[in-house]
Amino acid sequence: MNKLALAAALCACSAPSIPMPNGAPGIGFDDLQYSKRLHRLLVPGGRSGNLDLVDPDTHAVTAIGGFSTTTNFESGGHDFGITAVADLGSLLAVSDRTSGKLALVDLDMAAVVASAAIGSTPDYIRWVAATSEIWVSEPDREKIEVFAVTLSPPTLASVATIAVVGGPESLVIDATSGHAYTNLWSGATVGVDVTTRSVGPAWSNHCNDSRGIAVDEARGLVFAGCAEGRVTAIDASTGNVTGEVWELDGIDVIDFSPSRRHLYAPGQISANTGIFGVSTNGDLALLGIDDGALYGHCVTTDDAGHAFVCDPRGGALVVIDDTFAAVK
Amino acid sequence: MRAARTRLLAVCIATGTARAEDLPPELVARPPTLPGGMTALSLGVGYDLAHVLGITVRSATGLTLEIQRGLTSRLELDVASGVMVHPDPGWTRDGVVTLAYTAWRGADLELAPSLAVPLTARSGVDLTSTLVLGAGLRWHVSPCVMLTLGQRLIPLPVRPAVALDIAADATVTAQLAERWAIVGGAVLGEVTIVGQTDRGVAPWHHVPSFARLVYASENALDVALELHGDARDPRNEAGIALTVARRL
Repeated sequence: MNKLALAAALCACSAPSIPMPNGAPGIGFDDLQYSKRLHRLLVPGGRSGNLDLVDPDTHAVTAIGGFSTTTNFESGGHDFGITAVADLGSLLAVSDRTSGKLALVDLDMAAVVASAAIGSTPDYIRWVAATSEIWVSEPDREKIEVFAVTLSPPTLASVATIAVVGGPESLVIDATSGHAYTNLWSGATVGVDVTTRSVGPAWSNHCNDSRGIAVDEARGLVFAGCAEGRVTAIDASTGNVTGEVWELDGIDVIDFSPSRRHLYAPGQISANTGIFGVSTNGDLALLGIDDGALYGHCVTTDDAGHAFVCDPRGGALVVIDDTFAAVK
Repeated sequence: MRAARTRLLAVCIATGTARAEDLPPELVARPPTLPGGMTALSLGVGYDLAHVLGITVRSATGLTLEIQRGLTSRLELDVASGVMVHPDPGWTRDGVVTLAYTAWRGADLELAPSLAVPLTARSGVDLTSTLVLGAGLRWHVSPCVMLTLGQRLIPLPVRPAVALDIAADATVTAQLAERWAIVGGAVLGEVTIVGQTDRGVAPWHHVPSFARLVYASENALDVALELHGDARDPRNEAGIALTVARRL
């Protein structure tokens, strides 16, 4: 047998990157999102004090400033400034870990138009359009905090909390099924009905240490990223794991491209990015491994053949060109 | 004649005076490790094709370079790496370093345990992944047939998690003529005994296999044509390689 597989499905090239404004000496990125409405990547810039909007085609960056900022950067951490974002359809929402506030941002005014205090350190914020609410995961007190939102005039009000014992780690909304999904740290995933706010049973996600989450709304699949480097797929109708692969080291945030049926998962320890194919019945398979970044634990995709991985030490996004065909 | 050559080679190895030309052309008659002071350079060119979930994930042409050196009459060092030609030309940034030791040579049985350490020069902190301990048990079934077992006996994943695996592999070398041999082998299965299990791959999911036709020329040059792939799923995982090895 060949001593080396020629094949390693590995790119020998170096991926380009997009520097963020005020990116030096680094940015503690956490949540990255893509807004189809705006055709922009939404990049909360942590200590840089900016919410950065990135054109995925031209890589042009528009920065909205005014958030908590500092010159100090701790490699591997993401505990300063704005770290999570959600697109509300007209406004954007960001959570600021330093000020402890949830803020609504008007892009035309490039300004915060409403804000509210968050009950505990926020992790992820997600827009629940069906109920006009923002859900904020707060792992320190094992709750999801619910904020009622009015868009005109813009207002925010904390109206409820949902207990998620053992979590919540990461948060994603499946608008099709009307569920939010979040992980429990110790290898489980739960669904929460966005209308009744009832928490469903814990499904084993086969992670030793659960991290990121993503959803395939069309096929009812929930994906979990595991710190040890696995990614798994769960059938949301049964709670059974349908696919599992373990190719990287240090997976956290993951994202799914519905049009290609590709799942992107950066390994922050192996400093690379796995591109996984997802069959319609939930099988997972490695398609290839591309560049990433050390401590680069977050990713988003424009669903058009590009993934963007955070590079905290470089204060930039690494651009992954996904050349693999769509999985049918 | 061959027995005489083998005896002469044994004397040369023992005295450290073996020359490249002293190694017999028959693969089954060669020692498990290169004689001390002997070097072998191998250059291979290969093409690999793979499909996953119905799409092509690999269609790659590359080169492999391997250097073997007999450090002593029993200890061999082997260093291998690769260069991608198409697509994404450049060094693969991966390599394997292997040490093999001829522990015992009997009439029909030989034992040459080995340690293989994969190394990567990629940007992450993982410099290696799975160390492989091999038993290298060689059984001369007949004058023309040799069976090698346990070259990948104990894979030891160290990153991303520590584990103890055990694998079953076998290689058969059949000497067709003095200078022609055919070699075939497969890793029949691999299971985790201790540690975290990669449940995504069952031991029987893949059977990496190869078949190789080797011609040993008169001037210490071996030319090998190899077909390799997944014996369970050759349509989705297959490759071909041509390797030229020169002993110095």
